[in-house]
Amino acid sequence: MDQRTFQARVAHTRDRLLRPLDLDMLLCYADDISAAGAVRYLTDFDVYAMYALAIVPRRGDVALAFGLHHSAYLVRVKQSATADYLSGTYAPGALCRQLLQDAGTDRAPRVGIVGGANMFRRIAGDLHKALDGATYVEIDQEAWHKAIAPLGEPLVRDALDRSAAIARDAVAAVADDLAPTRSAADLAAIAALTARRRGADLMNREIVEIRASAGPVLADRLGPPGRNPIGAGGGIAVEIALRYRGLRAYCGRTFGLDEAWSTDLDRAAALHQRVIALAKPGRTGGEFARDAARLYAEAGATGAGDFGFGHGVGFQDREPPVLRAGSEDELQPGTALVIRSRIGSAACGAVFLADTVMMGEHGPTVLTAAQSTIASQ
Amino acid sequence: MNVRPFPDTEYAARKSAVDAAFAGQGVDAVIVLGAYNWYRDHAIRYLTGYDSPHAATVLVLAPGDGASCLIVQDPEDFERARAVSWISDLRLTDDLPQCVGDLLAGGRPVRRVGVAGGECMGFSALDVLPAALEAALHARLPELELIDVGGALLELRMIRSAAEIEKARAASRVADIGAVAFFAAARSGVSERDVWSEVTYAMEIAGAQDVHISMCRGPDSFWPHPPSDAVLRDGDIVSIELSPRVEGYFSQANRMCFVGHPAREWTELSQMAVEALEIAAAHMRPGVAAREVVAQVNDYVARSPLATMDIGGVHRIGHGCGLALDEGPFLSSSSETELRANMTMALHPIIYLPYRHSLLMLGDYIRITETGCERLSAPQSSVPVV
Repeated sequence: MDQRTFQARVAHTRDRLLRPLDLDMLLCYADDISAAGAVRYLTDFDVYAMYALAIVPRRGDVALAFGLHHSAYLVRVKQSATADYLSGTYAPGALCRQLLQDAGTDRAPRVGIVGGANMFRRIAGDLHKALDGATYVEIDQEAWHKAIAPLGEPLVRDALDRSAAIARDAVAAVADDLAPTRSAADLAAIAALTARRRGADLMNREIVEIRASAGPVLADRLGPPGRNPIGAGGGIAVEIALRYRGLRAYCGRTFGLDEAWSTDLDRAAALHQRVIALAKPGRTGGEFARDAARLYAEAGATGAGDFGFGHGVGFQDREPPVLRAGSEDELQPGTALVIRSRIGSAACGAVFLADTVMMGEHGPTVLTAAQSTIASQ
Repeated sequence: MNVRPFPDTEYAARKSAVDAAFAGQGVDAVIVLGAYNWYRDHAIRYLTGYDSPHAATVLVLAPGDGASCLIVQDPEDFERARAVSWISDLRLTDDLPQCVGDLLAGGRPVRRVGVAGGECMGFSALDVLPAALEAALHARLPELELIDVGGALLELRMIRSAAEIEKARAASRVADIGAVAFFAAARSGVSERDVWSEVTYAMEIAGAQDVHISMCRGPDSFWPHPPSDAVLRDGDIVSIELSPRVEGYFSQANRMCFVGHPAREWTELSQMAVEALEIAAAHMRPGVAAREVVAQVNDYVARSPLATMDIGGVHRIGHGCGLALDEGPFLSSSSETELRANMTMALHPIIYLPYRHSLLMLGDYIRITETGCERLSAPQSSVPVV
């Protein structure tokens, strides 16, 4: 991330969160790449450390504190993150206090926290000790997202589009290599390699995540890819989740080796498209789930929303709105969703489909659409 | 993936050992934390077989014959958790703190609760207890005392069972396959990303369920790091740390190559890397303090005016590696840990070359035997020029 983008995001955060909430400081905490949203947005740091804390005072330097196991971490953070000051420490409280002083805070500070529920006890304890007398304001993901609207930034949108395209290509690689002798784990490895070659984010560990169900009968839930050959007449349902510059995208498809699956796969694809079309601004996640269940019933399909129909995506793996019964999260233009269908099938057990879509003023645009035709191989 | 990694007898033996280890702590229950990130799932894997792949998991462990409960957050993985886990009482929740709090408050009275699991570099189990979980516990049990018992569990895990050693052997074979892929891929002009991708692919195809790789490519990347898009160039010293995980268990092998053309300097550095590892392996045996082995390696390295093991006053030659990537015992110049039979660990002397702003890091995954050490990964006998 270049300095201009960093400064613009800091200014945006101050305008949209610190001033309206009368905060002296905003703390964005993460200890997991899957939930690094606000930290990633502000600093581009992928939380390659045990924890990360982006510290935004009302004015002055923005700091990034992180777990410093040894100095290799500092080298890595310098390579990948942007902040006015980087501090490897297990006790970031003193730095927060100093930044508040530097900003001229002359009252018991009001401190906003994003991600505070998961904060390590040791970090939380140190902050409370160092900022004695502070008032804390919890800012949940939905509030952060509404205030910041990160996907409104063209750079972020471009990254999301690229992320979705990589996920789509990785799924296509599964179709290309599908064979009776292949296992789900083999195909997952091929898909992950494709994703990395297309530019998916890397870390020390594998962060292209793949869930699958494979064999002659597909389960309605996906799990870690197995090592048994798919077998003649079998197939695979697969979902690939990856990031590009921190933006998460999902793509899921079902592929079969048996022509007998074709009819059910095509029917499921048609139903999935109708479900996607239900994503309209102003609806709640619960209304979406209710209407999707109605579509399933009309089509005589089983499996409606046992695990929900999806959720928001972006800098976090899971963001509001949640698309399931009872959800009051509102679908809003400028947000991205993963929409999942799991449709019972007499031929193959269950068909799984997932697409990443962008919500516009009038409805969704599918970002993982090209090459999405489900085909028997 | 839906199969319990070990027979029930293995888990029953572990539970008995854990009960004995916790007996002196006076705890009414133990909260065991598990999260995939940073492989912080090690303790729950050890006690249940479950791998917490997509959301944090908590095991509430009751001492003795009391009923333990595994609390899972991912509805899609719940049935698999039931199949994989040794614990029969599983609960699904979308509010983990509340569920744990209710469970502890709703049973027999508890005053003192241990916290274990989830440890990661520099943070104890109690350190990583999520703020919301602690708040939920104190809201229901204001008098509750939380104590860290993670250390006792980590200590217990250092000695591997025969079944665990077989997993370590399997993981080491995968690391060897990764090494072959590394030597095939590493060339001048190839990016770190591409090397990482090919090596990862080779190990995933070979059976790795997780892969962790760090690279060091000198002279301008002094420290092991995640892969970047930078390319290997003539004159680079490349060290790669290959850590595949098979059925929950990591192995670790460190492999090296020089990029460019054969040179006398490469021959000398190759000899130093190989001999340092040989010296370390030759001194690894039961009853020896880790620091004594480190001292032997340091004595050897110190003979060279070009190399040092001293960064910040500490010398390091490896660490335990198994359910977690980095776990005890830590083989450093300050470690009093006594080596014992059936410890398994990554043995990799770290030799700095200040004049090149680079390092040598050759290593194998080893098991301490009754009389010495067994290398579980296939040793690299020299450092090739590619």
